[in-house]
Amino acid sequence: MERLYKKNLELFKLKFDKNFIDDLQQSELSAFSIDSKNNDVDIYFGNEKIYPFGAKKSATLQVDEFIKNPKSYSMAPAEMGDPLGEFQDKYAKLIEQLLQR
Amino acid sequence: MNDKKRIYSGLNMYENQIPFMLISGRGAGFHVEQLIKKFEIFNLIIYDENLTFVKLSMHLIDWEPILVYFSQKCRTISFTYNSNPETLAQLILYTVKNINPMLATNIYFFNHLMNDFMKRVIEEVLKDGFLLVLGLGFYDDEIISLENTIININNNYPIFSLDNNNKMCDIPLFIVGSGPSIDNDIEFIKKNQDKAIICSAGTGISVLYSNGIKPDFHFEGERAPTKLNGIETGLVEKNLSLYNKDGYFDDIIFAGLNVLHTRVFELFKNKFLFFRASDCGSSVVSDKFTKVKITNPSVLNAIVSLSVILKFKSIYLFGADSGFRDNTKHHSKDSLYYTEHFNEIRPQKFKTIEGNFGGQISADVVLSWIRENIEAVLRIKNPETTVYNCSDGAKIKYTKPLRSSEIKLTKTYTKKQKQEPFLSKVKTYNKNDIFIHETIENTILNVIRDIEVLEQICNKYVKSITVRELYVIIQVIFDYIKQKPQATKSLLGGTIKTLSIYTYMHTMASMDNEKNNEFVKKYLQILLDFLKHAKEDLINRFLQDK
Repeated sequence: MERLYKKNLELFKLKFDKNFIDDLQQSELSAFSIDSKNNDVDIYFGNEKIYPFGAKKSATLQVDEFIKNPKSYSMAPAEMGDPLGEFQDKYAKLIEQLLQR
Repeated sequence: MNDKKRIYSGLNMYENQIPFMLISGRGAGFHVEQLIKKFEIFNLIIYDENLTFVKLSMHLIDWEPILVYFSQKCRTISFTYNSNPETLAQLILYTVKNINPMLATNIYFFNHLMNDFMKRVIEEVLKDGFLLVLGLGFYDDEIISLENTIININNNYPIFSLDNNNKMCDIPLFIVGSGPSIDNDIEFIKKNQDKAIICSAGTGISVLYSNGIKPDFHFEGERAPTKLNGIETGLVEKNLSLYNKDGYFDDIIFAGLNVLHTRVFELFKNKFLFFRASDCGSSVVSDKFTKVKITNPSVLNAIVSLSVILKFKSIYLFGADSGFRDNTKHHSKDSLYYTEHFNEIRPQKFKTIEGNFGGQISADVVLSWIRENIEAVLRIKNPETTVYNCSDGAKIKYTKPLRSSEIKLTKTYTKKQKQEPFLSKVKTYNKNDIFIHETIENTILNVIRDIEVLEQICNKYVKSITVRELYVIIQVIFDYIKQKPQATKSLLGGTIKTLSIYTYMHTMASMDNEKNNEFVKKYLQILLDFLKHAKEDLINRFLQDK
């Protein structure tokens, strides 16, 4: 694990700025413990298990759920009030004119 | 409007493309590995209180494939972290703004190991995200700014600019707007007019005039004919002319943004102009002059921003309601909008917010925008500056609510003493020292070269573009404009961004891919039409005799 961390750290140094790397290196992990088993890992914060299943399995379940039911937010232009609404109307008219060409 | 209603499943997703995803940072990182295998994510922000979990994940997963994936063109990965949820939300929005503000309109969330902190961050992001797509500017507005700035500089008006001697100022500063609650405070202002510097903001002057009060300074910032809820109310000049009688303007010092029409400056004997940042007009002005950030959407924002950089110790906001309890009482009874256009104005409720003195206040988009931009300025103000909000309107973060009846001022000041904090920073300059060395013609020629590059990009894809390519093409155009000088950013950037944002919002909201493909082709055609128009217009305005 330490080797993997060192490899990742070198890659992060290439990609991110020094302040970020300093903050990362100063982050404290002593409250965590990791228990690897059955090609998966259990992560504990103190005595508390972070994932109900192993970390990999929990991630897979959550990604599968996201595929079926992605959570998203969409700004609704029509609800944004007059300044944007007016623009939207003009724009919609322009598009309509072009589509009729 | 309830933000929760706007979060839903089923946003249109084209061939598993996700232009922007926000992931809560807690976790071992396996989900990030898996997500980039299942989806084409272009921009990923991982947010958390701190970097503990990122460091933990570096012990558990190989980040190389993830970093390589996000090293490709038009892809970004960012980590944002802060222990304050509001600050963290602002950092996220700042990151989004830098990549492409359009991304704030459609966000995918992967809520890994959520807790109350993470939920609060998302609420804040959704609350303020709309600001990213407001005030982006547009071509015609920027042209007005450029032309007015050149004329105003050539007219030799004195200019405000900070120098190295910028100490804290002890004289209290009253900023007076025309929100309805000013009617309750006008007697207090009248009684204390010799104990504070009085600055009127836009139509705030009509309230002061009607109550026999003369401000020390009057500020205006609107360049174009004023339009409120679709009503043409004429130039600022026309509005101001109503009060230009019996010598009322004689000893008022007028402060106008560079974008203002010169006729507005001409109404006042004593005046100065100040420059706004990120503006086409200011782009031809040397950077040795102070360019004030966040001066819109209201002139109130400009005064607050200017007062904060001038280091006033105590700033009092009156009639800065930024909302309304009753939409028939939208302005002061003495303001132009109330006396002349009362029946036509009905502000629409956009959101409900906490009142400055309790209760709930409604606000439309523009009023919310005014408030949020004041907050953006005050968030980073000098800690020795205290801003008191005396308005019975919306609560404004980073201000202290204070009723005028609780204000105790004893020291009086002469007119000269009150003028000094602003006027000590105002000088008349030689115009050759104001304009950047590059000539206006060269600036315009550079913009035209940029137009031609953008035309090439659009022409290449106008026949073949589908929704699948939309995000990447928009991002390439945005990235091109981002690295260009301010004149290109202002003249082209605002219009292109707004057009692109609306195209993106509509295509993301519609499930009809066939129509959407047609729609995005029209988008590029409209963009080409705009670029052609802009090129011809710039040549006609600035280069015809050359």
